[in-house]
Amino acid sequence: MALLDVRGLCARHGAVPVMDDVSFHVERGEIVALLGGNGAGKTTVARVLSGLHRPSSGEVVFDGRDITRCDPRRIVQAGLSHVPDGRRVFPSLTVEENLTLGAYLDGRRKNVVAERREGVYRTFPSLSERRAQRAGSLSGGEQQMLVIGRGLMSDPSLLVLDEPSAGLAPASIAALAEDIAAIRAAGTTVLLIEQHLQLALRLADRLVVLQEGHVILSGSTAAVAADPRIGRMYFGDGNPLT
Amino acid sequence: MTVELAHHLYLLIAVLGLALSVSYGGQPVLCQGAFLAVGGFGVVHLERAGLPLAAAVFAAAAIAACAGYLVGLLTARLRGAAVALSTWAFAWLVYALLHAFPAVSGGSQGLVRPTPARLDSALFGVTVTLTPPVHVAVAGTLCLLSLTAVARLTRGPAGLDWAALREAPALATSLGVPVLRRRAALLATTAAFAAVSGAGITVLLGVAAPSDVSPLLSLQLFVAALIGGTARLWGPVLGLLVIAVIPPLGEVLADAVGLPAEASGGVLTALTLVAVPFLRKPIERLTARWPERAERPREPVEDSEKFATLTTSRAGVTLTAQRLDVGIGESDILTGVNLEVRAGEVHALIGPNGSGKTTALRALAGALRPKGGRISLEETDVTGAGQFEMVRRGVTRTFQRTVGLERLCPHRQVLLGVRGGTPVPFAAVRDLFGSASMHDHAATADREAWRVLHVTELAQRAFDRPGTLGAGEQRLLQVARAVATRARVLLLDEPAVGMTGPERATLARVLRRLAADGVAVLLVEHDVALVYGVADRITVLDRGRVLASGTPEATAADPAVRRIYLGDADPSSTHA
Amino acid sequence: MSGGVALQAFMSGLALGTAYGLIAMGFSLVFRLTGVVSFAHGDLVVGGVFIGVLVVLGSTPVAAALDVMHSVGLAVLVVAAGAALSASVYLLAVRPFLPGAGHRSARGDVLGWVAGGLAAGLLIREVLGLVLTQDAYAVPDPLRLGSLTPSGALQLPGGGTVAVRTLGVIGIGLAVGILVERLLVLTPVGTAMKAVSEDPTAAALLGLPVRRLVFAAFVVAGALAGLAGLLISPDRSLSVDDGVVLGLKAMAAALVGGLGSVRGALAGGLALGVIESFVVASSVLGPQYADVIPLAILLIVLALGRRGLRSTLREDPE
Repeated sequence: MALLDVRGLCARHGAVPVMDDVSFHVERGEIVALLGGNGAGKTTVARVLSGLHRPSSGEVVFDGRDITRCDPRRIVQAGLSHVPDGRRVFPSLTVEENLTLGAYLDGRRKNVVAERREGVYRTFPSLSERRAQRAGSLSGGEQQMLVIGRGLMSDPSLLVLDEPSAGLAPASIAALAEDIAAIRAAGTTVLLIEQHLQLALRLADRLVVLQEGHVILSGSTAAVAADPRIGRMYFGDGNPLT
Repeated sequence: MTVELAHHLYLLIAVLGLALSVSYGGQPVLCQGAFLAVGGFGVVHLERAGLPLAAAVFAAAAIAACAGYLVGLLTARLRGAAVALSTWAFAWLVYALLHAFPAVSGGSQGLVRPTPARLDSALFGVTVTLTPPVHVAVAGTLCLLSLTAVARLTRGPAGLDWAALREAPALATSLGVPVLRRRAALLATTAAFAAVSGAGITVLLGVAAPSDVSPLLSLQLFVAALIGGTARLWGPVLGLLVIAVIPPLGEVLADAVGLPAEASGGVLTALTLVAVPFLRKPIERLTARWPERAERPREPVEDSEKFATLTTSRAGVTLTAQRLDVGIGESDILTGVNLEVRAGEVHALIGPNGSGKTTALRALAGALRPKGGRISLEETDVTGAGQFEMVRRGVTRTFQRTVGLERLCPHRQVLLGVRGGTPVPFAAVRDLFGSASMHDHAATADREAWRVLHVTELAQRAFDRPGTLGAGEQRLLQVARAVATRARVLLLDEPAVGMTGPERATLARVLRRLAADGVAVLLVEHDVALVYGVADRITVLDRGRVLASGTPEATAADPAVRRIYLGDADPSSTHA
Repeated sequence: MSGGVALQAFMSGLALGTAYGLIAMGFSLVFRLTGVVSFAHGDLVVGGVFIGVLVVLGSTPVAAALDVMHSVGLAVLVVAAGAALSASVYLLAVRPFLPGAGHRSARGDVLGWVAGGLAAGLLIREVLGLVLTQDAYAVPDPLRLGSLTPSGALQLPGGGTVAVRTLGVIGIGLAVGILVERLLVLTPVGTAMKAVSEDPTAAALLGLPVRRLVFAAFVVAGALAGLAGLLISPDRSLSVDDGVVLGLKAMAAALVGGLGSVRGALAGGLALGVIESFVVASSVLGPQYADVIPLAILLIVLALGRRGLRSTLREDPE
């Protein structure tokens, strides 16, 4: 059974439909990339998965449970961790405090929290050097590491990463790709929501391509990458770039 | 009984005035009692200084208007909650001042106005004694006059401004409506109404006492305005009725339960106030269902064919940015950006998320102050000019999200842009008195609005409710509003979001038409297909720097551009 | 103003300012977490005090000496009543108008919670006014700070005197204020509150109980308001209607201290109390300016405030 199964999801912002009949699934141990340009409805998918946005219809089954209308807390407890876009660290808190908050639901079990924190520091050694530093003073790449690390602190079985590459320098993106691969290697399934085609191609086992709130393509990375529609999605018909 | 009726009619004047700021202007003003005090105490002092009654009322109203304008200017930049806080503090400040200076307020006894209220008119040689029935007549007439005036203003240019102030202040600024001044002017009018009301009550009762103009009164009047809901002409009347019914109702209830009558009135007011915010949404939903008096579709004076060929007759200009540095807070968003948007060209600005496209657009529109570099319009340096000033100079922007004015049909929305771009001094006042020149202005504006609607291919939907427009048409309407300001430089932020294929084709047509008319268009867009179909020139931004700039062919061939969009390698070979 | 009088004014200003500071701390805490300007906050102070008085002493309180049982009862009740009132105001008048977690408009229905807060304050005043019909009441001091020395006063250098009570108020108020501030910095719950205030959506995504933390903030704010009432009410005759001006002064203190900073609110309160005390003691201005000057400060800070204020209280250009 798939770890995450999204069936016929529709959502709207006010009266404007932003997602129409979106279905896809994520198997355990995979990296699946959800690709699309600005305004394709990618972020809304993530917000629906984590309980921030109520879909108007459709259902989300995670680990055998229907989590469609659960609140974010329940969903984190169930093992789905959503790392939002925009590198939303808590700027005035230290790196360590940011990480500890990620395990808020297990806050009582101090040993477990400390262990997980050390795990995050092993994955992101540069965070380890800055434990006592305020998160607001980190560089963009480090902040991205911090929010991913914070998302890992709840020990999720599925990590949903929303546009982790946005606004990062190429070198940071390369490091990010290695980190994501390492996270998967450590046993966490990853749903990567991206605009950055190259990053998705490099990491993902399968691709789901969104456009205007519809799934226009999905399948193994090689198959989707070979599809002429992928180029068209980015550059349109008869465009000199393709 | 007559005295009570007159008293309530005077209060209605204050509520009608307050509704201007609250319901029409969208500002939660909680100090109407303070302005009432200016009228009430002012009229007594001015009379003691030797002014005749009518002159004293006028003078008091003028003083209150000045005070209102000042308070309005001080609070105009604040958010709703802070406006409520500062006006509430102002109400208590005036109350505290009245208590602190018994010489002004007559202490807790108040100021007594002993002379019989006579109004001597030199013009007709008539002397009127202000008996309660005369007060009822005066107050009633004033109420009717204000209702008529408000109704007339709502239909005119002022109504457009108010709708924009209330529903989308940011949009209003971008269309050239002087939001701060309009808010202050509204509050000045509100205060003048309150002063007339306060003066009337003082003359009616023969006394002005601090306890009669306490902040509680401000709160009651606010509730009355709030019950009236948003922008409904008869709302304030309904609101005051509710407030007027409370004391007698309180007495009845108090009798039944056996509590002191005056206290239960206060509890009822409080309960009403508790209920109002909860009831507001359902009431609004209810009233929204009532068919709004649809605007009669009017045909343009000239036939459609002609409009489409009309041009702006304004010379084109070039907007240039040189080595522009822009930051928000601590972080730098743009560094050393050069950009030239030429008259008659569609210049597309593309780049990945977070590359600074919208920031560049905002800086060019005057909404963000650059940290370094220079922005010039032709030869004129316009670096650091505000958004309002830029609109006046012919540079208008649109927003990335759809900012709606849900109650205005497209024709009126476009008119808002027309009026913003070519302001008429004291339009509201002149419109109120039916000035002939305003009639001409209205005709010109209407013509211009039709031209814009034809240029943007929205003429068919001119009088439809905005809610019935599709997402793409709404986006096109945003463009139309900006065009209507007689913009010579248009800065469009992702106009194609939510548009279907055919709608994108329409947009492309509209943009080409605008460029042919000599308008300089900067198009921030992620739909690369649209961009390559319509743009004369393309600038690619990446992480706040210009990656490439030139003709579509040149940028498409640029390896750096290919890399940020396609990645280092050819996608088809990655997983081969 | 002689040195002795100035010192005396300074000390009583500090006492007053401690109370303002405690109220302002709660105001700031609530604002930081929710962006809500709590219009009923001052009424919590008066409401807490009078509910305690009504329960312990009945509707005709006399400022007589209390026995130990009544003292403790009154002190606990006033603080608890403040907390309970604050919680009810939040649940009934504020929360219905706040957006859910992760909502795009961060402030919810502003007109709703503004009117809700004003209404809640008015309701507290009016309901208390049903029972407490006199203009003002002398409230007994449950902490019995005045009976620590025989005369209840200490000589100050320069000829002035200071009541032992004043020193007690400063001591207790500052101790509690600093304790709460430290707790907010050092405990996990404090850290979680800080996270919610910086980014409620990100906090919700980590499974933080955002609504419960906001509720807790309102309870703490109410308890601080109750304590402030307990500390200052015996020094003056207290009227049911005093709440609003107390609340506005606390808002001025919070604004002076940099809105949203709990530490700053305490400092702002002290500053405002001292200013007010000097205004009252001054021969030029005098007691009638006691309310005028703080309200004027509030207006000036709001209208011409610093950058930090501008971003939180001023309109977003977008």
